[in-house]
Amino acid sequence: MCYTDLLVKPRSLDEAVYMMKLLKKMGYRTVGVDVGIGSETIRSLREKGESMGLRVLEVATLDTRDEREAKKAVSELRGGRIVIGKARSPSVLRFFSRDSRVHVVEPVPRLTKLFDRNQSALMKQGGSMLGLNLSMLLRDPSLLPWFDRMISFALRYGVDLVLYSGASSWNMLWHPRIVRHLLSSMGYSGRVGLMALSPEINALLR
Amino acid sequence: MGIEEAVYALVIIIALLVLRVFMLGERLRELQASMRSMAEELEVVLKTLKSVEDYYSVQLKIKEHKKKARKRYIVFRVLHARGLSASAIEEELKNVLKKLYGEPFVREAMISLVYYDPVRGKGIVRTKHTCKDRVIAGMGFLRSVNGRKVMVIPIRTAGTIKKAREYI
Repeated sequence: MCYTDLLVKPRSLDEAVYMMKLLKKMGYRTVGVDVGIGSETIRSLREKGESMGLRVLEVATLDTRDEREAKKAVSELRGGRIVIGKARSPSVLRFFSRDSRVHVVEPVPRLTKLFDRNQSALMKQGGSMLGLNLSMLLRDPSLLPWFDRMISFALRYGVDLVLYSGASSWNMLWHPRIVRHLLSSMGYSGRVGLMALSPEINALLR
Repeated sequence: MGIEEAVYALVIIIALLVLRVFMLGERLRELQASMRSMAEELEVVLKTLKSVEDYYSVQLKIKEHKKKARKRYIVFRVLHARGLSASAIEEELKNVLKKLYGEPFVREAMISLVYYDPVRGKGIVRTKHTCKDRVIAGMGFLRSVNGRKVMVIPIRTAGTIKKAREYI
């Protein structure tokens, strides 16, 4: 299986290169680097990635509270990038869910109640995936039941699920084996975890 | 046949009918009584069956409880572990699991670091087979030991320590 870490946010080029080496060792084939690191750095990372056998993608993260702000941010997006929308308010969540330019919708625990059948229909309409940032779990392990609820939502309504590390340093990366056992410990099949680590990138970028 | 004889015959028929009805009533009463006693007996049998079922379900539960917990040996590797002691890693792993799943789980899982090579950063953790998944998941939350950045990678799980040592 070809694993993808859809979002890493390295602080420097050296850190990014080390993270890429580790990801390669762990069995990942694709890595998404946050555009905040700079386009020049991403270009050099892409070259290094090619020599390592690792595909490097540009990932733009939108973190907004206001719908108008979100619309503006989406309209300014460049093509060829994976877009992760972190929804912090109900209106932004709905907008990100139905807009096909946003590929992944990252929820926050405050909006859990909004994740129902209608929300799943919106996400299917916009063709967006439900993205869960595993670095949130490292920061606050008490979010484990919330993760469980989100995964259960995705499985119940057939919404595509993607898990990514969101790592800013090498020790925040996640080994696929750990992700598999994490999901097994929640009562899901370990395969669900592995599938969530291998989203169809080409379909997203199309 | 005269009217008198016909009346006699009718009286006799009526008397026979009354007798028959009376006998049937008696029979019904007897049947009712026997049914009642049968129902009582059935109730006793059902109660006995239920107690037998309860007894066996309790016995099954006791058996399951008494079933010997199988051990699992998880082989792992710690990245950037040079200089870290086995006790520090074990302590940190237990702390992480305590935070995640609580103190009772840590006690139930009987986690113990049975082997650790500080040079290669490889080790073996022993736990119960029922707790394997949660212990491995917990390893993912172990990101620093004594303030140093580390990362734990589970390599393989084995049922015996002999087999686990082969994977190191």
